[in-house]
Amino acid sequence: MHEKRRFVRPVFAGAQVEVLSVATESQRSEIAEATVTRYFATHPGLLKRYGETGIIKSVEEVEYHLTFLAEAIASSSPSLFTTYVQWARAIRMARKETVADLAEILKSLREVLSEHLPVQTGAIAGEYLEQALSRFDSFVAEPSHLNGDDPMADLARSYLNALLRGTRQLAATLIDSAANGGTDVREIYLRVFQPVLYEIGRLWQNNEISVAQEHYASATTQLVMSQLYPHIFNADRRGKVLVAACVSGDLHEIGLRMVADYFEMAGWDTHYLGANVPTPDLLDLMLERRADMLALSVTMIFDLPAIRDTIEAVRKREKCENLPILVGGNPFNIAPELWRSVGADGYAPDAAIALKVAEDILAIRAAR
Amino acid sequence: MKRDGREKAPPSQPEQPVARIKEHKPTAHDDLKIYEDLTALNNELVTAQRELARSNADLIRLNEQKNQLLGMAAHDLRNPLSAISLCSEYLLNDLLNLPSDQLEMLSTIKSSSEFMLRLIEDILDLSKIESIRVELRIERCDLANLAARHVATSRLIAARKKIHIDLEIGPELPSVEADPHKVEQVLENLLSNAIKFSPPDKTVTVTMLRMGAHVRIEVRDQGPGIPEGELGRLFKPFQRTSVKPTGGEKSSGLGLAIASKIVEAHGGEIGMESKVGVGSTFFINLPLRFKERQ
Repeated sequence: MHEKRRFVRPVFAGAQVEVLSVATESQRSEIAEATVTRYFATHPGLLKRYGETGIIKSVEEVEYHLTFLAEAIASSSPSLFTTYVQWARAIRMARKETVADLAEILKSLREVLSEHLPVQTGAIAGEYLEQALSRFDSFVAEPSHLNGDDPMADLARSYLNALLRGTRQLAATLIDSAANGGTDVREIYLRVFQPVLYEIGRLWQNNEISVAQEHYASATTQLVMSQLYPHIFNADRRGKVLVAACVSGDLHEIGLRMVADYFEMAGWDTHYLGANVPTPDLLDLMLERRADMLALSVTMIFDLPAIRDTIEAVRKREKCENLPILVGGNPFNIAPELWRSVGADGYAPDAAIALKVAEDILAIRAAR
Repeated sequence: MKRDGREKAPPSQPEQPVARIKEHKPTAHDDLKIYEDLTALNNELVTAQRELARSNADLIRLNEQKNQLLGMAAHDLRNPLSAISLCSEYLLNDLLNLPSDQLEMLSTIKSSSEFMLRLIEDILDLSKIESIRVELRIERCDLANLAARHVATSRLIAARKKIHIDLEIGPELPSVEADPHKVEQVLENLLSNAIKFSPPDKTVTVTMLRMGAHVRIEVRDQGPGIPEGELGRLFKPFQRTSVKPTGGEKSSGLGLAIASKIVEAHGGEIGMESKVGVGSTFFINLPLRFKERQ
């Protein structure tokens, strides 16, 4: 924990604050519009090809790029922005859009930022953009998440097919049969739900399934998880309490719910609050339930400020100052040290590791 | 990608294309918004559902604990209350020369204890023990002393049925690491059962001896014995055999289940041998050293 501050404000502390200000609404729009204007001006055929709708879409996209860039810089994690650009590139490729446009508009953004920002700040933003652009053409397609060697891969594939065919009952029956047949629910979580949902994300990214199918898969998996409650809420209690919440209005709740269920199966008393819990209510509940651990998750990089604010509020609250906090979610998977910079005590990429990290933290504290 | 319809700031270069079309309101993401709203609603629903399931699981656990507490409390209260009731009855029968106010007090003791016994029988009838968890307070126990004390008390009850209790302690009986109150509770269960099911003029024998790393406690009666087909359910809660108490005593069917849980919690074993027409021997093997179990 002593290293935390090193990651929060590493080298260019002042410059970062200025770059962060890019994220404010008016400046972001202003820079985005200037970037698109420059890009369209230097590529005369674009307006004819994409029309006015293309311009609107481009401004929105550049604002999106800026949001990720600002947060990557705030987190001192170039990989966050590079991964984002790779993701945006993959989305375009899958939809038969020109990826060269993305690279070109990022170059325009780099120019505009260098003009709009103070020299040092512009240089940092330029480095992040340069790093993303330098790896632009070394893109490697994401492989399938369903490992053929895994003994549970057959079940995972059947479950995925049931989801994609829209046969909710079949999906539920497959999992129910496995659980009642003696398959450990933890295995179902880690080796069926988790890879299948990652695979769903990959298929959407590759434009192989629709947004509707993606949402259907999430909703169905939530339902199927509910049917496993008899297997989840029957462990002997250990007197440990976990409070878990998704920061902001994050729609991707299943990961943290799996974490909460995993703790529950290990005998913890878990209070899973989902998304949109006001921070004061979260703090009150932690005190009321005498939480031993808080787990927070985010999916999108632009929710990182919210997780920082939440953790800061916990640290300021009397009797919660030293409460261990675990974080998880996609940004933390991309940037391995990010958890330290948001002020957390630990991070885990999945439910099993989350439980182990939590137990380790408690054991270390108990030994002090 | 923007979802909240925010107003934009004035453009920096109004003559450029962006400025000309900035009032345009795109609707390309309307479908996505509907999916996101539905997913958010579904998430809220399953979160509430999870909390409900968790609360239900808590309620089931609490109910089990309540049943366990009721059953154990009732069972533990019954035998001392029986002793109070019997003692007051003895006194009422033998001390006829007592002043009338003292006789009245003695009668009150007897009727009150009988009333409490009936209440306890009702509680035992109502509470169903589905799981019994035993909290132990382990200390070094002198089993010979414990047995001598308890047998002395039980002889009072046994004498009423003209049943004799022998106590045989093996040589150099070592102390054991155990919860003395719980061990006494087990002994009381076995002994009261032996008295309950023995006909008059018979002997119940309590034996304690060391067997390797264990102390074996046996309670042997000369009762009717238990048919072999009924032995399997002896240690399960609320299970009764076809054998009836010889003095019309009531049986909750909990005693052996509780005894079994206590012995298991100590890391020991409990069992019995029985022969119809000859009698039954209940035994427990208690380890000399207590080991905490996971």
